[in-house]
Amino acid sequence: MTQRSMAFLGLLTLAGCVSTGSVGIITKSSANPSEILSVAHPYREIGPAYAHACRYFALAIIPFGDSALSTAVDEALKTSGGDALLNASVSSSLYGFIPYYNVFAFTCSSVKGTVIRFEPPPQEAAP
Amino acid sequence: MRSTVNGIASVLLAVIVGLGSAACVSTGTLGLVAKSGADPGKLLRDAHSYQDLGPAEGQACRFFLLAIIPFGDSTFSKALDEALKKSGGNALVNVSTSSSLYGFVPIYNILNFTCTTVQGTAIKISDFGP
Repeated sequence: MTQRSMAFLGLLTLAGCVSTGSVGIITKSSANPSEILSVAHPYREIGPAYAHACRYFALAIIPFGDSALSTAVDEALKTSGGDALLNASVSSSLYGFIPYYNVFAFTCSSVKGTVIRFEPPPQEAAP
Repeated sequence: MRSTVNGIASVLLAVIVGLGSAACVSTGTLGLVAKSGADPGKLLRDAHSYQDLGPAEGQACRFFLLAIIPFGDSTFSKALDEALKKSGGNALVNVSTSSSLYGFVPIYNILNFTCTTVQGTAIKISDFGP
């Protein structure tokens, strides 16, 4: 009975602490946004990618790690060598263990989407 | 004697609060972030004109009470929606994003919360919903 209660409590904590949403496109900070918008960019789909970034908090006084979404995006694009993520699903989670006692807590930002790489713009034909 | 103890306690409290407030934010930057639309790839394939709507900021938080009662939504997309809602834009450029994690009262887990904040320049891209 105690094991079932513990399992239920654990499940409640794990399941109840993630919020998700979606974003159309996310590009790296090195990309020039005005150039991306004002000039047509052919691109190649590389495939799906997933990454997460976490920040930890021990005893509510010792923080470490980086949970910024940009870190997760950089991580997702680093492995594939992409320039942006399309149709990205973003989530943020917050976990704490052992009710009432704050031994350890952490938050994570996750991103999942289709990695794309910009192709060189097509050359105009000479007259 | 009593005032000295109170003074030390105040300094300790300020250090703990300062440490918690200052050390718990991680930041980063992104180039362009657009809301979810029917075909985000169209944004890249075609050239678009856009209108600069000025600086915008949005925040989304998730709370965790006693480590068993979670509520709120701290996703990046929620913060983005919040930032764009006021300006009526559909994308942010030159984005600065941060994620924070706070806990109060060391050892005892009364309340934890995490917030995602986005800051950038709101733009309205033509021919791109929503």
